[in-house]
Amino acid sequence: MKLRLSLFAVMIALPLLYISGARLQDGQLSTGALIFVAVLCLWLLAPERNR
Amino acid sequence: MTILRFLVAIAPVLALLGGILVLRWRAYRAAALAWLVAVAGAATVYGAGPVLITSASAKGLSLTLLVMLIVWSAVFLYTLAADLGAVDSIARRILDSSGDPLVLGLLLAWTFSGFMQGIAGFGVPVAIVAPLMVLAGHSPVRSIAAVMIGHSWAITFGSMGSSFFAVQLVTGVDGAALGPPLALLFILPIFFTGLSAAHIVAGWGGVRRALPLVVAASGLMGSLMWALNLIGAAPVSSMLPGLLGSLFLWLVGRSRTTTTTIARIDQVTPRLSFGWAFLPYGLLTLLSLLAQVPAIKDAAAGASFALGYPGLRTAQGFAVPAQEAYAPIRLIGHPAPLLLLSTLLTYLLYRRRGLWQPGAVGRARRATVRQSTGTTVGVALMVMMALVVADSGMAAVLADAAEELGGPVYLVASPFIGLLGAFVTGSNTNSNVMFGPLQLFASQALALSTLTIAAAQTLGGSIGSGVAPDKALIGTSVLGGDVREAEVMRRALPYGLLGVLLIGLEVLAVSLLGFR
Repeated sequence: MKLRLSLFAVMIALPLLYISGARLQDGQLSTGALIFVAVLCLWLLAPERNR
Repeated sequence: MTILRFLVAIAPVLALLGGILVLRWRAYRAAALAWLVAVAGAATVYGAGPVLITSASAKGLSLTLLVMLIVWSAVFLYTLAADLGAVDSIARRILDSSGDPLVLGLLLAWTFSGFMQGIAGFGVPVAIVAPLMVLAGHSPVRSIAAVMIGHSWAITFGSMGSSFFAVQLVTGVDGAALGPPLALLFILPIFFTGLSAAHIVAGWGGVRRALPLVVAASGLMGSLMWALNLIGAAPVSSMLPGLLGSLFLWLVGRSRTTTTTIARIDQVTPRLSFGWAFLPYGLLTLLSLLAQVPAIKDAAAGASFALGYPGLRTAQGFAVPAQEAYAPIRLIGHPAPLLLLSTLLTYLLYRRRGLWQPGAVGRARRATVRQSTGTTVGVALMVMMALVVADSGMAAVLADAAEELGGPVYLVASPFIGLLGAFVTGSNTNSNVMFGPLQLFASQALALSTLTIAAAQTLGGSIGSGVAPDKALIGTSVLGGDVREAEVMRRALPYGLLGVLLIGLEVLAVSLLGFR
């Protein structure tokens, strides 16, 4: 389940990162998009409870 | 400051390797840590702003989309073929082709996997051949490791030569000049990967028994690779040598009768004839060849999807050039449409023949999602990390450090740079794109032959891509069970490192002998 949700997060990360960074080149939006990916990474690093 | 910059530049790669090899994490967890380390270093020490880091990470996801479309469609075709009984039938025929498990192991892990790399690539050989190795009685870890190192000779000219074109693009070296000498340099890696596969499959005894076979097959495969490059047929310079090597080992296997039995051969009950079973892959081969016809290529030239990226600069002045169409996914030329078309044609022909199993698509879809999800998350974070390393200027610092080694040492080290790029991105093409320009600058600064350094880059990238963590991930996701990537990596990586060292010495010898 964790991986399925991570896959979904990765799928929405592409438009988020692309629009905020490459298209709009907006610093604040880009920081927000980076925080989104950083939270995903920290969540993946957290130990899984069900193991 | 210079030492700090170097340590920060190498830290993401060390985080990735440490996570996988020391902490024995799943690759996606190590990749998550590596991306965080790369972003922290880029923002604090390298002066990369949020826009540059975001843009670099998005580029990573663009590359991931290109690669994972292939993996998802290949895994779907494979799971569908398995559901329809095609894989069992192919396995039966290949397993029956030789009574000698060593010859069979070489045929599967070294030559047939090279052929599969030629037509598909991007981890497909591991996804398809590793299960056949398990059916031949090898342990999952050995099977994946043998195919990882076994197919690595075929990666530069594999996937229809995509890595070979990438290295030309970024170094400005002419393909007609690079192809033939590169093919000759590949004879040693072909030979070495064959012996490595024999060692994984059957130990030192296997190496001794396989030596004459590997010498003969390497000579045949290397000569054909060279001849194909002489006539400008680089896109089929892995596929056809792989096919020739498979045919050679098949003929050798047929002539050998031993009392050794193959562990699980009796458990395989084929539902289909070999012709019908091979149909999905035969169609894929045919479509891949048709896609090379200039008229078809030209007709579909405009049909592609790609995102454009702006030129950006770090606060310290490192410039990233603008990319109008980054990592384009072409309708003809990208393997995914060919894989999907093969699947569709297989469906139509099987249905017509009454061989189609109801519900097969649903079962294959569920199996594909189950098997590919972790791989996708891991590859996405890994490639995002690699692009942050490249676009923030960290990769340039690593190249500068390598340059300080001096000419002869740099010659030996240059394929290791190719290996490093391929190892972290999982792709020979990405490695060539990432480190090709830096290798070019280093070769000019050290007055070394650009041709030799370009060859060393892609030779190291070829082996590095074969033993990269993403291949271990693909292998373990296809085979399932309790196989850990770390075990596979520990098994495969030493062969990759030794192979690249031999390539480095080969490149040094060629250079000392005065070939440029």
